[in-house]
Amino acid sequence: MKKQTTAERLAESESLLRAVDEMDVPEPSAEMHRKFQAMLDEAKTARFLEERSPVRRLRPYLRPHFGLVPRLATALGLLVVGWFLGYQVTPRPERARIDRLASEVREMKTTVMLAKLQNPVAAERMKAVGFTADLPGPDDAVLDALIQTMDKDPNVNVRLVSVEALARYAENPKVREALVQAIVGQESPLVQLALAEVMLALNEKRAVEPFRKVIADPRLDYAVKSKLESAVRLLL
Amino acid sequence: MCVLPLSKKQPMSSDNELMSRVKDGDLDKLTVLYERYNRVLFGFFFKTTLDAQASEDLVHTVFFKIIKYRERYKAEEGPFAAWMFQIAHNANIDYYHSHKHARNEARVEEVEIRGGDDPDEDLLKKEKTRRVREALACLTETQREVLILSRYQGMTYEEIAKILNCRVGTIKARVFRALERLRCVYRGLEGT
Repeated sequence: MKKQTTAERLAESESLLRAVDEMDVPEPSAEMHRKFQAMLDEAKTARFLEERSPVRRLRPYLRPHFGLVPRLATALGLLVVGWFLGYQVTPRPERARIDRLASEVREMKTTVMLAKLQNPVAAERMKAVGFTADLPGPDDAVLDALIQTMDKDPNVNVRLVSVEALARYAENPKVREALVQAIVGQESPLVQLALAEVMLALNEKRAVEPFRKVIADPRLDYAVKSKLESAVRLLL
Repeated sequence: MCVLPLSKKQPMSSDNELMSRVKDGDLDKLTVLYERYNRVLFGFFFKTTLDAQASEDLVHTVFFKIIKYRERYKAEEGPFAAWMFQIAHNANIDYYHSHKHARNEARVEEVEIRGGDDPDEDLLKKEKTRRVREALACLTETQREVLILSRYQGMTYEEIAKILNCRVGTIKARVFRALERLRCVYRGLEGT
């Protein structure tokens, strides 16, 4: 082969780079645009729910001038002092009445929540799931309804808030088992990601096998696959 | 050539403004940025992976991360496109890590080449494109990425160095080596 001069090499490089510039690239599919829109809709719903969260509304008032531990200690101290003072200044018959009323309100909330979960409008079902945050230690009927909603509700946003609601009661073995079992059944990327976050937060090693089953699915979203693989690595 | 508005000479306030709105919670503004950049990103990924399906997944990943990490965006640190390409670069790294066994053996997908009036010229162009794609597939993913960023996206070496988080000298050396390898492989393919 004839030895090339520098000028020839430069010209050849230029020609090759032009060919790279002009290389035909196919048009992205409509599916890519549809997936983007679905992802954006889910993000907007998540933001809407986050904005309504009472913790977020309180955040500006909890802005720190000092560290987290002193703030938590102060908050806890104020809570204990408030409760003690309130208990001391309330007359005994009043206390019994307040306890009875609290119990009735709790029962009423449970009934409303269970009824709303059957509502055909997804936004109402989301509200119903949100009610559980106000229930101190929900009973089995509420937890069963939440598990059923997480597994079976046709709306992805309702399923998503159910996962978040159930995660609050993950110390309950039945809830924890239901969260693990839900991994294989969910098809929405957002719900799968939420379950992965919950399993990581709980350090639940039983989730590894279900995650592997999901990862083996060739239709799995790439971002979800990466997240699940990372979760499996962290759990092992 | 598709030139991105990356350098400071070109107006970037519009993209930055839109992303700042997204950061503040107006997620609908991301649709405008998606319209502007989805094809640019797809082209970038397609030329680095040579796989259309993977490129679509990677574009999706980039926008997913833009939403997820929107709070970290700082308009004062540079143009939106540079931030977006940093995310794209990280997505590329993740992609190659999860497809390690397929490294340097990028699958060359057939793409329909638009025909012109002269069939002989079309044939020559088709043949050259095929060889260029095969030669690109023989480069490492790092070489393909740096070569495409340097040329196709019209970026400066300084901008690429910022995106890839390394020194300008390193970028120059990488581009030179990538180009030399592309040339050698292409010549080899011409001889076959």
